[in-house]
Amino acid sequence: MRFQLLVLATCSLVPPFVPALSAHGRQTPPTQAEIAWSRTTARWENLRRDARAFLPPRPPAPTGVTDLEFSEFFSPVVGDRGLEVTDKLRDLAGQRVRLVGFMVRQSLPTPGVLLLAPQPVQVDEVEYGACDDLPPQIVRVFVPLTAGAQVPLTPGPLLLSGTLEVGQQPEPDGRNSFIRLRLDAPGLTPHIAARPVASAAP
Amino acid sequence: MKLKHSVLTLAALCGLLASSALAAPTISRLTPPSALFSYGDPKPPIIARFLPGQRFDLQATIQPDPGAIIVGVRFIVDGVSVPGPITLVLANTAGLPANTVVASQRAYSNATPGIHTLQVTTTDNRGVSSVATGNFEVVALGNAAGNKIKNIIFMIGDGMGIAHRTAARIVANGVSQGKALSPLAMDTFPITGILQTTSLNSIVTDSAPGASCYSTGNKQNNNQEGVFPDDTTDPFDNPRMEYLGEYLARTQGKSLGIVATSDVFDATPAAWAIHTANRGAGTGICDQFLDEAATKSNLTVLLGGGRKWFLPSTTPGSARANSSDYVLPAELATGWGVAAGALDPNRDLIGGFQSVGFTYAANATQLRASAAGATKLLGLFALSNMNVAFDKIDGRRGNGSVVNDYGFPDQPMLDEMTDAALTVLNKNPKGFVVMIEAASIDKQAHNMDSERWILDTLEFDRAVARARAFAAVNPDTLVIVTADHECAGVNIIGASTVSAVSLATRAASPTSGVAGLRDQVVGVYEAAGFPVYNILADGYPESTNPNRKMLIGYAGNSDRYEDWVSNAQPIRDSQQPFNGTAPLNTYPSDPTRRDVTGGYFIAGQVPGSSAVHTASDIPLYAYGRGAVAFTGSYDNTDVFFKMMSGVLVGTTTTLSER
Repeated sequence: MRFQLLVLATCSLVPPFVPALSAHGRQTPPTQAEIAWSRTTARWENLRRDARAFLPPRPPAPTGVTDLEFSEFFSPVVGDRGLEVTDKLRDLAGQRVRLVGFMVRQSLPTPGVLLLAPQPVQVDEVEYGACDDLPPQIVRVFVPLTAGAQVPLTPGPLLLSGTLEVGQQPEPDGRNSFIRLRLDAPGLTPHIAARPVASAAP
Repeated sequence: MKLKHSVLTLAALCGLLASSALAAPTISRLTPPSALFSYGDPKPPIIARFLPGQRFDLQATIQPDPGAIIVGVRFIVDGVSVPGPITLVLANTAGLPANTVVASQRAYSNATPGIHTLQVTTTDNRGVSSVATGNFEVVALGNAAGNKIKNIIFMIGDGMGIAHRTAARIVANGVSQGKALSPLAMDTFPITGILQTTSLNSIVTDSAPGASCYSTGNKQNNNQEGVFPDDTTDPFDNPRMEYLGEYLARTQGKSLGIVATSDVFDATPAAWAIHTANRGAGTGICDQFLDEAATKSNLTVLLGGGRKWFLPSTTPGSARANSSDYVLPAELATGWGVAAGALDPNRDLIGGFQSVGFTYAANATQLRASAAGATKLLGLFALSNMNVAFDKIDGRRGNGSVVNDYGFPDQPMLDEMTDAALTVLNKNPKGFVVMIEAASIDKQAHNMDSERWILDTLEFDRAVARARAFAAVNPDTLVIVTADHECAGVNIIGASTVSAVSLATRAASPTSGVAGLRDQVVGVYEAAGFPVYNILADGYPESTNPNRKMLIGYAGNSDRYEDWVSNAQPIRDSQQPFNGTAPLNTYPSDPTRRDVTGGYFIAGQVPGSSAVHTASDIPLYAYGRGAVAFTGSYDNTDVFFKMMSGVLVGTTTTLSER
């Protein structure tokens, strides 16, 4: 069985909650205390800082899945108008890809959707609407949950694989998406809310 | 904090309903704001002041007795009912009782100088009435007095207090034996004033009312520009006041230019043309530059960053979204004669500007090529804020790592933008008003990145020199150089007592700490001596890390580490599209993630991760026609009336370079 959502550790930064790692990723679900902790802004800020510097190596990509980096989405020199999509991103549209990113902490999340950012970031739609500082590399990730279910806030780096979609699309929450990822369907199991677990190792 | 409303209950006065449970409507807000309404105090200072004929909205918030409904509202000035339609909408901010209404009468104006009494009367469906009284002033401009100002060049060093200017002079020109070796361009201005900067709702202003005080003559709330506060949540329906650019386009056919090194939606540029209670509503703000300002203000030049608001949302890099867009209430659009707007995330706003005659420049090369031939000019040189002088100059010297990382290796300097703007605006024989802003003096002072705000102050001063040169050959021009507020409590605390090599070594040593980076390094009083910076032909220091360099302290500081060595990379700019990806995600995220190695931590006096604006007075320098009016110490809104007096009735004195 392939696990589509792997929670990797930010071990140096969060000693009270060092999750275990295996080749298949974290093996314990977040506890209630951990979720409560992650909702504390100060702790979130601690996590945000330099989070990418602590990324563990990712396991080998399964057959048919191409690893993709946020920095590979757009040409680094901006043209006279906007950003220009790289050949790699364009060619991978419709293909299965794998990305490491961070779940955006939103005050008004959309059920079944998480926004994946290249670094930990939070947005407060209640206060500011969609006028925020999210970069255009944001990936809108469709998570196959029971209809109406919220994706639980999951701090730390996420290794996600699914089918890539490229192209602007207005979304029901008022945002525009340009890059989307439809997570591989794990049968009928809502794989974030009840993903496989094992006990933590020191 | 309303202590007392001058609300008189007509019914109670008559004694007709004294034993009844019927209460009169409560008038909880009367706009324009006044001390007479809020505190029953008729004495000066009069809070709201306008030019003769300057347009503004009349508005009142009225809370009916429970169960009652407001059915009638009249505005009365000096005892005479103001003719014209009044619109009632339900208030929808938190804490107001049900059926509270906001009554608006749009685009009122009064040509008679003096203090005017404004009353609002209201009646509910049971016939119970209230009246409230406030006031406003129409400023007397005096008698015609000689030559009039044709052009205004208004230059804002955002966040630039006295010490930013001193630091720039020390770096650019040097000091020896107690004397500055040469002045800054702004030092050569013959007139200096000192401005008080407080906003309508705080002793510490932000950049929105900090700029729109100059362009409207009125105090506004923080985060709001071109409007008074109201009791609805719609940020684009607030009671408006006419901008200087709108007034001069309407009455004299002058053009407006807006030039900034920030994103053009930012508060300081927007506060010269856009009416909104939300300085963050970028899509709507940039749409209004075309929908309103291009016609109502003769907006002819718009230069800066912020291309992300101009790209259709189908283009990657676009930030256009319905949630930051605008649609005006029909009564407001009709009352002011402006476009109502639309939620249109896929709008091609660059194409829209081009379709009404704007030439578009995307980089410095295109800007240089286009100014001479353009009648209208739109320049958008970055997706959000432009890079700062420190990094742009590095790029021009062949070390473009930062500008290349940001994706914009060919951005213009502010003096080049100033030249282009003046070239285009000077084609209008009726004259122009242009606002030119060095935005990142403020942004880098927030970051406590000393060398970056110092070099942006130098960049600003080079633009000031270009404006002064223009005014020298166009003597009907007034040049104002000022700020909107001070930022970060900046000051020059002394100089390093050690060499550049020693400082770098200390910064790289984890054992330095307070002893190695403060006690053994910070030279105060005579130990500071006279730091020397070698200036190259491009006008900027060869290095910002000379031996015995100047040191800066911050009174409005958040937590930071400090090692005094110039930072190779700026703090991340969260509005930049590449912010989250390599290489920008390797840049320090805040001032506690920079200079860490040396171990010298300075605890902040303010929370958060950036230094703050302060309430200290700021300097103003004036040159050219009408400059003499700007001497003294006065309120920031006075600047508007001094300028407009020179434009409308003239001035007898022209002071040029001393």
